[in-house]
Amino acid sequence: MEIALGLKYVGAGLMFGLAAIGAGVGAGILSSKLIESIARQPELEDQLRPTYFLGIGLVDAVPMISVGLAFYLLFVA
Amino acid sequence: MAADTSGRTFSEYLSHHLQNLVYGKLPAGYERVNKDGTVEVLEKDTWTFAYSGEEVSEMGFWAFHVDTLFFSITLGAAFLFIFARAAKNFSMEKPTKLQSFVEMLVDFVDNTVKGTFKSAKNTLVAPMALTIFVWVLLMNLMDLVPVDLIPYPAELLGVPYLKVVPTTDINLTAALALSVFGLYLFFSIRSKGFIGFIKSITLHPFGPWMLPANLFVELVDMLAKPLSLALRLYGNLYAGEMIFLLIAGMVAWQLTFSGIMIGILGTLLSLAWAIFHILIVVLQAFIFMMLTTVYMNMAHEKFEQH
Repeated sequence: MEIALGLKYVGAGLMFGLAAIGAGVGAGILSSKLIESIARQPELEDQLRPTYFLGIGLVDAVPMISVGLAFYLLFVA
Repeated sequence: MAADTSGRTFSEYLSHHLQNLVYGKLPAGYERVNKDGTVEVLEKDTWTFAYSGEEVSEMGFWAFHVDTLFFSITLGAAFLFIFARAAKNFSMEKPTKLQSFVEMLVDFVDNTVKGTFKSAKNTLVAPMALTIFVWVLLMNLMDLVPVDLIPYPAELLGVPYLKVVPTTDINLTAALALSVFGLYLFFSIRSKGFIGFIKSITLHPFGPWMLPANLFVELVDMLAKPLSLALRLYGNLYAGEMIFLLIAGMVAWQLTFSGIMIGILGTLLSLAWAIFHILIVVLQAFIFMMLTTVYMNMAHEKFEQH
């Protein structure tokens, strides 16, 4: 029982951490590319921004789900 | 952990808030436990509201999530009503604030669809995108209503469970995604013809000699669309709601110094998360609309032999 409880916390911790790593890398690459592109062609900014937000949303989604499930695991299940 | 006013523990509070109000059929012979602890055996099949998690799991497939239905239909009706009013009271000389707002939204969606949907002419796509965007946005915005503002008074009035955010119910997001998928199939077959549709899923991407592999790849690709659409919206909103609930559950309802301090901290945390959540709420509605338009665009693409 003790071990099972401990493993639950380890699992939730892994879920939080891996989600943060994935989202961080993804959002970092996206943002840096956006800045590069705008620096190169400032007139394209208006066209790039919606696509950027779309990408951020897609990157953000799966880690968010992971965080939600981790909280579920910690407090409800 | 801290207990709320009804004497629940922290995890009971959370699971209570994550349970939908379910209306369904309890089978004959089910032993129902009343509030005062007496057991009542049902003599025949009964349609009723579920008062506990066990009753929900007993109801099986034909169980209606009344709160999800109520809030989604109400918000959909409100959207239609407001937009119809703005359209009816349209004036070139003296636009009202409402009219300007509606025009802004319509313009925004129209431009987005024009930028994405290019492969054919279809006047259904932009209105559908507008409907999806505003409807999903309104349902998502229910997440910013404080978590106990509606469920707690409802509980005092005798409603056992209440979940106010329709998009945190996977049934609703799955229904939306399946509707979009149905339209995708319909438009695919209509623009390519049935033979063309079959060709597009069997002869792509490796050519006719790899037919089973093509079929497998295309089917996985196709089934991933509604699945990811439904799970993305559901997961984001569910996680957001979960964090609001955790913050709310953390607050102890005690008039001591530490109780008040935790209350203030909880309020600040809630506020911070709500401000961040505004981004997620709008973004997810936008993504749902955008992906719907992209899928419609794919459906209208003519099949080409590569």
